[in-house]
Amino acid sequence: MAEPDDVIHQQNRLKIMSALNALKEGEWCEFMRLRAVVQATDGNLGTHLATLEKAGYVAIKKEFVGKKPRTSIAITRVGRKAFAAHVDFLREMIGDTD
Amino acid sequence: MAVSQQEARDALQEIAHTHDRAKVLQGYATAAPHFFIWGAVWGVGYVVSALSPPASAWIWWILIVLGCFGDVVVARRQRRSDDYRLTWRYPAAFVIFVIFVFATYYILGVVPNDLRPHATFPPLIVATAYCLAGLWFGRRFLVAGMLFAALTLGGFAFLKDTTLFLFWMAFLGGGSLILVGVWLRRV
Repeated sequence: MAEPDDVIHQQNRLKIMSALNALKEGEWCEFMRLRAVVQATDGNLGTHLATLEKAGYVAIKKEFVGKKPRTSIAITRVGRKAFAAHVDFLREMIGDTD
Repeated sequence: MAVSQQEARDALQEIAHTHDRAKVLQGYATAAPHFFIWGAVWGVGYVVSALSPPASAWIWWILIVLGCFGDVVVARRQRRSDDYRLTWRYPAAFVIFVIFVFATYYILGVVPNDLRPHATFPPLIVATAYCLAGLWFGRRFLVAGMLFAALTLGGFAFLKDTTLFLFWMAFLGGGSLILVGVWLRRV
C-alpha cells in the first residue's frame, strides 16, 4: 500500500499543491492568485511555500515588473509525482482503486 | 502518519474543490489581457467608423490583424514560448469568426451601406461566445457576455442615429471589455 506524504498532507499545503498541479507544465502562478485560491494569509502561505520548496516540490521565482516585486510559483516534476502518489494513497484509503 | 478513511475522503474533496477553483481563476487571469486588447480594438474601430464611415471598410481589417498579433504575443508570454499550437489558435479563431459573420450577412442579405447592423452583429456573436464560455469556465465570463449583449442591443434599439450608435459602441462596448479585463485580473 502507498504511504501518505507528510509534507503534502497538511491542509494548506494540500490546497497549494492541488492548485499548482492544476496548471499546465511550465506555467507559473502569481503569489496573489495562489493566495486567492488557497484563501490563506500572506505569512501563512509564505511559510507553507518555504516548506514545499525545501522538499523540492515547488519552485519560487522572484522578479521585478517595473518597480513592483512579483513572486511566482510553479510545481516541480518531483512535486507533481509526489502529489500524484499522495492522491493514489488517499484513493486507496477510501477503496477507490480505479 | 495515520490517516483515517474520513480524512482521506475530506482531503480528496478539498483537492477537487481547489483544483476547480484554481482552473477558474487561472482562466480569468489568462483571459484578462485579451479583454484589454479587444476593448482597445473595439474602441478605436468604432471611433474611426463614426468619424469616417468609408474608413470602416479597411480600418477593421488592420485592427483585427493587430488584435490577433497582440493575442499571440500575450499567449506566448503566458505559456511556454515554443508552444505554437496554442498561440496560433487565436488568429485561426478570428478567421473562422470573420467567415461566419460574412456568410451570415450573405445569407440574410444585410444592407451593405447600413453600418448599424454591421456594427451590431459581430459584438453580439462575441457576447454569445462569452456567455457560453461562462457556462463552463467561470461565471464572470457569463456576466461579461450578458453585459456586452445588453449594451449592444440597447444601443441598437434606442440609438437610431448611426454616428451616435458607433460612439456608444466605442465607449460603452470597448470600455466595458476593458473594465471586464480589470475585473477578471483583480479576482
